[in-house]
Amino acid sequence: MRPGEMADLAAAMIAAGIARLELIGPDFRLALARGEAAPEETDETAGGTEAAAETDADVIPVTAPALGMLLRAHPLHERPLAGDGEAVVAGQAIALLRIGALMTPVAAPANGVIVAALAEEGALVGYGDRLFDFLPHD
Amino acid sequence: MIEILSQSAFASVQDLGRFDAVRWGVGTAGAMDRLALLAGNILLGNAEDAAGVEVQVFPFEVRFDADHAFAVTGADCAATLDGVPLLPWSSARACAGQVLRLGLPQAGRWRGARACLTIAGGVDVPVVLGSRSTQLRGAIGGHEGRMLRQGDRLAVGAASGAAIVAGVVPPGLALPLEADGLPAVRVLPASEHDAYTERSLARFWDEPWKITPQSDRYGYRLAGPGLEPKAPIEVRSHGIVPGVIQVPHSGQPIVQMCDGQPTGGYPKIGTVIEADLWRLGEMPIGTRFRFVRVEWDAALAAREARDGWVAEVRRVADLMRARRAA
Repeated sequence: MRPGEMADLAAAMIAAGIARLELIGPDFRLALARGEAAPEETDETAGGTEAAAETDADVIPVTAPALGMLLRAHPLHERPLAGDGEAVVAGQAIALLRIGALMTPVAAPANGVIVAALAEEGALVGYGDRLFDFLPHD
Repeated sequence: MIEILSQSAFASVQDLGRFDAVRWGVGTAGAMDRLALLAGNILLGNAEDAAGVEVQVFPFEVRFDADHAFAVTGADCAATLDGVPLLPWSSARACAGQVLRLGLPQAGRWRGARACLTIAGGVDVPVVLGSRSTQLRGAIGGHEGRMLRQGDRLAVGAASGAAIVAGVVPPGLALPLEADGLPAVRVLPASEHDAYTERSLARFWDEPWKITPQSDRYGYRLAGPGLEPKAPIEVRSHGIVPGVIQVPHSGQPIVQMCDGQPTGGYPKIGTVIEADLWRLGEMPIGTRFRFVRVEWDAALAAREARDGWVAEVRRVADLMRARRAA
């Protein structure tokens, strides 16, 4: 990949509001991440109004482990994998990221509850995007 | 190793089937839902013909004696690992000592009858006549040629590829097939099709058929409108394959399934196409379904669509594997 193409990708990331990009080819792996300086639109609402009841210090973000379409319910089920406020155990799948025929589970980082969803059902999310505010329990 | 904890298991070791021994009168056996077996093996990085455990009576429990990646595909049976829920059509990792429990099949947007447990490395039973599938009639293959029972311990082969923890969008959703709101399978007319009365044929193609309790891996006995030949049909015993729809004197058809014998003497009205056998294999007893008439080209196109789905699962799984390796 030429340096010019990398600059184009970076510009496209900024235009699309993508925080991290990972590209894997037969003989290369490219990871681009936007600097912390740029404020993100999602941060305005994240952990703010909806999560006001919880102390922000305890809330941790759950980020996307891969790119894909966010599904909060398994395609066979109506019921979400984990509703907001529903207790889950560490490692339990709380959402799915669909890529074509496959789905990557998003695991709960600890025992706890989802406080707020930061992405819409069906939204295309990128690697590292914040999906949920999560409140761990002991 | 995995150990069967359930008392009455009615589960068996199956791979894709034993297709090279039919000429010696040995039926194919093999997974009733081969897409479930393939999906599990692809997620786990197994050879596609690696053997798994087909479960048809629930609940079913196994204990892992060592750390293993595994997948549960097929019927959505509310599986849990040490009580933690697992997702249908998904792989996961088990630690030594953990217990996998498959509960009752759930009625959701798609309902299956059989679950498939695959393990990274595959169930390591001897290959007999080219396959690891259990041939119950001949009591060969699988684990001692029989259904599994409590206390059985199955060896697991060395994992050949990297397993990924992921789920597959079930083929029941990805490759839907219905007729008038009922699940359907496509059928090619067979040699004695035209020997049935016009009225019988119209009803065969246009009315629902119900899977009776006398249905298992050998064959499905159906209940529906009686089928009457124009004149009594006498046929000599001949070779048959899974999917063949025979009509005994009762006029109520029987569909040969994976453990069906390779010869039969009843007239054949049709054959469920190979690409749709998994659909039938997953239909629970009591299901009302429809036959949809197709010709040769449509049957081949259906097989291509099925194989295309498998290829797509493999392609995305390989992408995920590459990503995790990087």
